[in-house]
Amino acid sequence: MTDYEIEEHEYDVLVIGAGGAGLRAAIESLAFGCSTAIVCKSLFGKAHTVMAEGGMAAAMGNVYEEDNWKVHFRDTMRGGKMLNNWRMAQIHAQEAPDRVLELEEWGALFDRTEDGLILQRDFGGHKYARLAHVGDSTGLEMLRTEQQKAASLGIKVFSECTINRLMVDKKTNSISGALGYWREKGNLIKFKAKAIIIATGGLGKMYAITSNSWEGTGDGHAMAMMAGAEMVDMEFVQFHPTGMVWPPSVKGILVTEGVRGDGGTLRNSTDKRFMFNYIPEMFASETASTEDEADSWYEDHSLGRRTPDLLPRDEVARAINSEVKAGRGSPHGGVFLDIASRRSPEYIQKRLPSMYHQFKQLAGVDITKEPMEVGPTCHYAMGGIKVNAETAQSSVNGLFAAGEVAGGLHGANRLGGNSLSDLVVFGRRAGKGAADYAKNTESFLPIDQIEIDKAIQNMMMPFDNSNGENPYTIHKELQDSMQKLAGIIRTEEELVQMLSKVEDLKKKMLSVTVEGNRWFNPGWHLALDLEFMLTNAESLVRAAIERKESRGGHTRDDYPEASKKFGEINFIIKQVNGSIKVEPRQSDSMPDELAELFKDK
Amino acid sequence: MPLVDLKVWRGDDNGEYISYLVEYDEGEVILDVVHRLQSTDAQDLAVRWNCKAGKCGSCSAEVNGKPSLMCMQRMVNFTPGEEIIISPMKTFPLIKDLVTDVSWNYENARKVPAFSPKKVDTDGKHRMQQVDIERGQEFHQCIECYLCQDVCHVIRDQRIKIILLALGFLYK
Repeated sequence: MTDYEIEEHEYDVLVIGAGGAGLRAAIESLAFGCSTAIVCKSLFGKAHTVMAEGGMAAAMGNVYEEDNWKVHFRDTMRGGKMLNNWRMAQIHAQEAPDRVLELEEWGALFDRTEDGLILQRDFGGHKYARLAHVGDSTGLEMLRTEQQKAASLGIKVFSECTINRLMVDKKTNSISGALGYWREKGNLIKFKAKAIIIATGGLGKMYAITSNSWEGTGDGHAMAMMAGAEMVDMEFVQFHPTGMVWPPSVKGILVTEGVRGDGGTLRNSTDKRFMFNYIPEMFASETASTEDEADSWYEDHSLGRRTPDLLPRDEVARAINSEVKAGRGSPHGGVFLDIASRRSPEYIQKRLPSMYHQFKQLAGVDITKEPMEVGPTCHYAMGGIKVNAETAQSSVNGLFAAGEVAGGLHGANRLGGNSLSDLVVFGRRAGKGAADYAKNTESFLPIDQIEIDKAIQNMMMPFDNSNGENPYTIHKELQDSMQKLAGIIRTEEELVQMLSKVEDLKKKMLSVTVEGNRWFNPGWHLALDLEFMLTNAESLVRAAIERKESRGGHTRDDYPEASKKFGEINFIIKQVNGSIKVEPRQSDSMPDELAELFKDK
Repeated sequence: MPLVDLKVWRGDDNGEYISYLVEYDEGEVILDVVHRLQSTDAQDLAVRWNCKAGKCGSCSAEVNGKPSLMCMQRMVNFTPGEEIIISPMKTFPLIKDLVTDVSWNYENARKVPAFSPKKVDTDGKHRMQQVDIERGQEFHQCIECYLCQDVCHVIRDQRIKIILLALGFLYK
């Protein structure tokens, strides 16, 4: 084969991804004295974290003194339909407040209470107002703060650089490095690393209607699995109930849950607040049964039970889906989200400036005067790389994961606001875990040249092929079929169809052909991402077929109820001799003092 | 679907404008049309983008000579039949097509010292009034699209490499 020039680097800890989790991990690893670098696909500071709107959940008790980590833990577990890794949920609830205060120490300016403390906002599934926030652009504040911290520490950043393969020493099942390419010129780059932290975010780009950016192709999920790591809960995908549905340019773009947290309600075409018809038994005792009760809850949580508009996201997304199916949707196939009739224009513009701007500029809708049209959009992958709760290490030695790419914390469904706190809580733990590991590792492991050659050959294949399919066409086919066959509501028949679609697309991928050369070529980049998207689609669908029940972000029309049996099982997905296998594994049961929290409530 | 006459810069400094007829829908933005062009006639057309909602500042370019985020330019605001010219930002060195080298912003950001907080209150918390932080929050809203540098005639025309720090960093 052709000899390609490869730039080489060596770091104790290599972090892949520069969002909230990757940055926090790198800052921590550096603090422990490890040489640390970050690699990211986009420019530094453009990670999907900037799109996070509503806030960061942490039981600080600034608004409701009664709040504490135990309540947050309970909310998280119940929101996740009890399938969460309980230890991760416990650590998350306990450490989130410190991480918020840490961001403040680093310069983040959160909105304030009247006493000058960090203000907290209501969100779905959280018993108390708990989300530290900056208007509706909390993610931007978080990312800029971490970005500036990382820059001031001098952490090396390889931006617009994409990792395509992880390198593993097979004898010891240990990470040895990674291979990638610079987007600008397409030149190859190789990293030797003692430890690698995957913080590549989500995989939503395999769906047609998604809030994810082009980066959400699940590279980290797929690369880790190919490297031998175990994945968990891949069937659970969160469809955020409120994405924009019109105009076409913005279909799927997120409308923050903060709209409902700040008083907005969902209505159907008959102007009815339909969420009152969709209160599941699990949440009935703590959800308002009348509009008056819900409205007084907004004023003071001791005056009533919470509004059903703020049920966990899976419940709300399914309800919207049913309303639209029943013919009670809005003109563009969503439902109405109304805050205009409920709050003053000044309040709306102050609390939700970017939503105001987004609708005004992109849809010509003034949200202080008229309702928004919204519908479900693929938003978040609950599943991901299975990690150790304490150290964030995967089943491959030296391979760590944090943020959306890691599985376990959120169970079957993530509560809003738990993602930003997840990033920093487990970003920090992964940074420390990787640093400890690297310090205990004497020397860099050799990288197998055969594996490098194989990876390079695979990367260059789209240029060597001819007359194959265009990568954009294959991608669109995947998105359309996933949307149709493995979306919010699933059936065995359609999932099986999807599986054969994946097989079909995998064949097409082998002959995918791109135009031009390696010089900043998005067609080539997409051709390489296809492998990751198809791998993840297969994991997702295979696990979805096995889970013969409905729970959280996995709804089966053919098994509409949650089953006790599956409620105690996590599916582990892994690659064995090149093919993807799914196996059930009994979930860990929590200690008595935590189990206590779920009794008689 | 109607067609729009798109003239796009292709290549590096020695490149040229190339005209394409691309389908579009009234409800789309320029970036959608650029993406359609990419998926049909110009697979290797280099363009940066991420959020598609005016929040990440990636898709900066010049649309009919006006520095813009392509994701915020709605097709409905153009006259049918109008030729639309899309060029890379002229302030920055061109890499390829619509992608420019904005790295000096990141180099400058590294020169800014870390934020140093005031002492916390005795209970370990900071107290600040909303009204006092609002000015600071405004600067933190900078999406780093660098369009301000693209419209700045000092940087753009005279190519003076002044140490311009992104406003948010300066404030700190």
